[in-house]
Amino acid sequence: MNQPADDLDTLLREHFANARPPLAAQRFVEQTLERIAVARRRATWIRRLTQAAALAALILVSPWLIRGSTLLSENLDVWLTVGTQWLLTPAGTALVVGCAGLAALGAMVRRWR
Amino acid sequence: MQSRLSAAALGQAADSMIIALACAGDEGAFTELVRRRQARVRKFMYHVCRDRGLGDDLAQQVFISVWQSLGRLRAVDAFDGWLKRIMVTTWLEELRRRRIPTTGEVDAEQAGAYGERTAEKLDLDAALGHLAPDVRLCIVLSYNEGMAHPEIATLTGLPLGTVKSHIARGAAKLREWLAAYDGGGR
Repeated sequence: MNQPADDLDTLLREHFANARPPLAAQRFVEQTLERIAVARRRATWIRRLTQAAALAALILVSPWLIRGSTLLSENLDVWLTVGTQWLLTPAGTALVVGCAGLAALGAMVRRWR
Repeated sequence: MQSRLSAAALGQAADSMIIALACAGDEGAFTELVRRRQARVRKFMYHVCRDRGLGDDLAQQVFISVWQSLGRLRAVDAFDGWLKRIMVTTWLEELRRRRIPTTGEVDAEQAGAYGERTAEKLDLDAALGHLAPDVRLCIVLSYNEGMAHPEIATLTGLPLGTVKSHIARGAAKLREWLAAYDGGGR
């Protein structure tokens, strides 16, 4: 402790040590547990609503998801070929080297911190 | 999860056992934990907020936060330090929510000419109430929780110099007010 010891120090410590809460411990514990029970019920409802909303959203967007996955499977080979060819050009190689450098730098900064 | 131990067994169990069980989701152990820590949390909240109803409300919020995140506590030994952090955070959030200015040496609006109000019962409790919230928080953490200045700085996010200054100036103000009261009252 860094405070100089004097009468006020003693007075303050006694004051804090002697303070008593007004509400009986049992009543406080009961009220706290009631509030936790309410919070738990609310959390359960929110989780269920979120799950239901996510499921509904999935059903709603499923036609687009199916169309997208079909498109992806049809064109993935072509896109990969084009992408690989571009990465082999000087600009693509420079981009890859730049990204790798940034990632390494980020990792080093994280380690230093 | 229902408790694995009877209420009597929980009442006699060591703190570390109760905390470990509560972390594992044991409801009886959590109730026992609330019972064991309630006086400390309520006293702290009352001393910083100066309102018994609000103090109990904030203490309950602390235990709700504890319940919500107890599963993430890694070490049982760290529980009391972790609880202290939740207590301080809950109070600082309350201050921000109510837009109460936290800085300054003294709550000037309330304090007024403190030394002149000798007819009123001006004890240490009332004098503490006139300190600005930040100053009062540092005084309470130092004298009620027995924390060292660097610990208070870490917990509150205030610079160490500010913590030292708050405690020194707060104590000086209390001395000044109490002396004025003693002098004026006699």
